[in-house]
Amino acid sequence: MTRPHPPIRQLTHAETRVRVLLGAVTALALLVGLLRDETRLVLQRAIQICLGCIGIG
Amino acid sequence: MANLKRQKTKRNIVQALAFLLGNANVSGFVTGTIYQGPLKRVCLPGLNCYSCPGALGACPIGSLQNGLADPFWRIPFYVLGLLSLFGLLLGRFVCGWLCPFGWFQEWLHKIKSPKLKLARSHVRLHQILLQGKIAMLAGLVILTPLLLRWLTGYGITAFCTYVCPSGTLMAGIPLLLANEGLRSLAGWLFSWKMSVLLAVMVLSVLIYRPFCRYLCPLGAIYGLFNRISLYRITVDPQLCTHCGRCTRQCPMQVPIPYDGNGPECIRCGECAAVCPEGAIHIGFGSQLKKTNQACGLNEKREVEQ
Repeated sequence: MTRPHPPIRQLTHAETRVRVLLGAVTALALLVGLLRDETRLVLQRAIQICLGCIGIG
Repeated sequence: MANLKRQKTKRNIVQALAFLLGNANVSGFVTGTIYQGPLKRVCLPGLNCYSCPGALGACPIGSLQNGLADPFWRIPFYVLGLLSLFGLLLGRFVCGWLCPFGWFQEWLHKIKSPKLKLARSHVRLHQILLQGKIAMLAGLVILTPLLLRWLTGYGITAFCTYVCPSGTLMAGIPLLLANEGLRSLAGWLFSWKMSVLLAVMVLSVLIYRPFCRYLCPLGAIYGLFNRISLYRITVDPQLCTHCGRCTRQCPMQVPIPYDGNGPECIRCGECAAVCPEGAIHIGFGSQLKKTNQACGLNEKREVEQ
């Protein structure tokens, strides 16, 4: 498994750009989700016993 | 060795705290009911079933499937945003430090028995099986709810219903034990889910975290973020002597100096604990930046694996 010279590299510019872009998309998704009051939908499902999860269907 | 023991103890404490904080509704285990308060608006980072009597938060995979299955919800932006936030910040640190089902598998692996180690001849099979979690994510978590919604008007939470052993362990067993009404409804599906759970438990004794490696859709999502997550591994090439101790120690069998930030690393930190040169740093940002600046080295020599 161990090779003599590991291909060590920096975080590439492309990866840095992806990180920034994903950060922006994440913030946007959270904002849209909060504005659409999706937390209420999450809550609605999560406060009911999920019959499938417990093996009743 | 002292470093390694300290690291393992630290991780066990954090895992225990994460489990206790996420499942603090103790009375639910006695009454056979689940918590219904406002905290359930927030998804927990790990695979923690929201039907667990103790759960204070929602399960991200369950919420994602509900969002995709519901014709009125359409796109679950909030859940996707939270998953992306956890992934960008922590990557698979969530698996190694915060997920209760991962912790459970680790305890099972401590049972004394012959262990299955990855032989050279099995590498190809291992590589194929690793894609199982991507298949689980694409097939059962995303496509099945969407397709059924398209065909019948309402999808199902296929992964939770037919596979998720965490749901069986954390929700199914405690609820059926405490709630007689639910117990009378258990049938073939419960038997199937118990069989899946038992298979995962037996495999966990033999293999380190088999569910996390080969089946967990949440691990697949966080694995996609591992290369760019802020919490990451950094290997200092000036200190690394290529002794290979980190790779031999890694419980997930990741070749740390080459693929330390690959999708399989759960950031357990054992590699850094055993490195005799202190060449491996795990955390937010890069330790090397400070070291290089202190030594007057060009910042471009900073190495992030």
